[in-house]
Amino acid sequence: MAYGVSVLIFCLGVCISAGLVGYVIHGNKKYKITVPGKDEEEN
Amino acid sequence: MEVFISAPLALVIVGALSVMLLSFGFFIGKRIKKNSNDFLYAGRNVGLALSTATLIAAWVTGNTTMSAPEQGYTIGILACFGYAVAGLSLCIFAPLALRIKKIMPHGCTSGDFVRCRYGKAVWIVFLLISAWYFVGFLMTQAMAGGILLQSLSGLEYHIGMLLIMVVCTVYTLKGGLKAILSTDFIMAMLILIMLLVTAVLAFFKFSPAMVYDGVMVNKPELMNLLSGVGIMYLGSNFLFATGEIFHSNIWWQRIYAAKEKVTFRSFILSGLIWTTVPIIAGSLAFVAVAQGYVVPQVNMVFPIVVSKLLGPAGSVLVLIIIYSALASTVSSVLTASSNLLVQDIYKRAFKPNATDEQVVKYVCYTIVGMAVVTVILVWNQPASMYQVLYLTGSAVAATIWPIAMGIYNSRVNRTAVLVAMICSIGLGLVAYFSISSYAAPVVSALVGLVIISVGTKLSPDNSFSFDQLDEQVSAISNK
Repeated sequence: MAYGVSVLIFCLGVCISAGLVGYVIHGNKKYKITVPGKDEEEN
Repeated sequence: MEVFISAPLALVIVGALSVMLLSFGFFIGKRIKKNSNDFLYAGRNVGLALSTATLIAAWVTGNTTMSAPEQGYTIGILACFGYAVAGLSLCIFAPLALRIKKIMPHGCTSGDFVRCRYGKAVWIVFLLISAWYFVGFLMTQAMAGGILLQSLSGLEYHIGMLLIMVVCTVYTLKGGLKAILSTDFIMAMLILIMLLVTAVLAFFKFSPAMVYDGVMVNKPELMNLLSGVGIMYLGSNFLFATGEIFHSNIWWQRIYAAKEKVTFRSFILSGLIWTTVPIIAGSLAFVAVAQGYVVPQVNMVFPIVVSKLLGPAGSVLVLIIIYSALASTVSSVLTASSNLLVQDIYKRAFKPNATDEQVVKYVCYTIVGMAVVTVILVWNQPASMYQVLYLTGSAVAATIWPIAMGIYNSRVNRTAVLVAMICSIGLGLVAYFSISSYAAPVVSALVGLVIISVGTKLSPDNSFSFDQLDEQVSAISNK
């Protein structure tokens, strides 16, 4: 298999992964979802 | 084949661990209420420590302890890092877990979400993917049980394979998820401590510098940070692991079992702690290369290296580590898969008025059925555990975008999701056979992303609202 194909798969994999991480973080910001804090835990 | 501990000693150790597991199963089984909430979700009240430990134990599988060294031995140093990024997949699921808790607090399975979000056609494809993955996953764990005992004590492959499946099935049947969560805590501690002890002892005997020099003499290509297969594996493994986690009911079941306030932190913590496991286990493969150990099968690298390095004590350590990892994973997969199949097929499709007792009864039947199917499929031992698992790569990666977009975007086009899942699997399999097994998850995820994005842009679905999702789920769950 050509080395170029391996590089292409690697680059695609990294770009899709980065896009997914960005999408999920942006999604939680959009819906204002925050991690329950300690105050909430005590309640 | 070289034997490191006697067969009776291996059986005594496995027997002791099995007795501990079964006792827990019977002990918890007597204390849980026989309803699905207690049996399948541990009362939906699990705290941070237990939730984190069960996530670690479920994700430290026979593959982590046996395939990570296999990958290190065959691909090289990049494979250790590539394997470790699967821990980050648990971390990236943390924000999704929070969102799932918000929009569907009364959910039961990942299938519930898919059915209510996208309709029956997508749900059927999703269930087929889940069944495919669960069977592939269970196959690798059962194989690992057989290979483990065979490589350490010379016991026939079928004995170890049957032992792990029978013990885990009985203990899961008795205690349900509550027993699994309790033993997972002990298993996670055992795995992490024993693995650390093993690595410290191994690298105390052979310093990292000696190992590096040995690898550079015997197989220098393993240290190549630009190897073609290595970079491809590094680029694809995050997507494969993310697909495994996003769609699998193992993780959804744990979201519903945990308290809302601990969900996010438990996924982040477990992901970060988990990343150390494949790096430590994988690095031991380089000792085998440096020392020129003969490894009859690539799957056997880890047990053989530790046994050669540390003698019979090492064999005992490795037996405890891998058996614990296998037991926690097999029982988790058995409950999660049977829960998904019974809740989604038996209850939703055939008997909506089924009582709680009937659901638990059918879950138990399904657990036994899954175990039997697995044993039949791995009776003739496949060559490589990891290749068996990676065959599911195109299918699990096909679920990444439907789950992620379905959770955050109310306008996702349902038809586009159906087409995307089918095309992702098809083209992913083409990539698996024509390029490399590691190309499959990347191609699958890319196809899914393009089709769903374009389909949604051209024809957005305006009929869905997240506000109604929990009601719909509750309605189909008969709550």
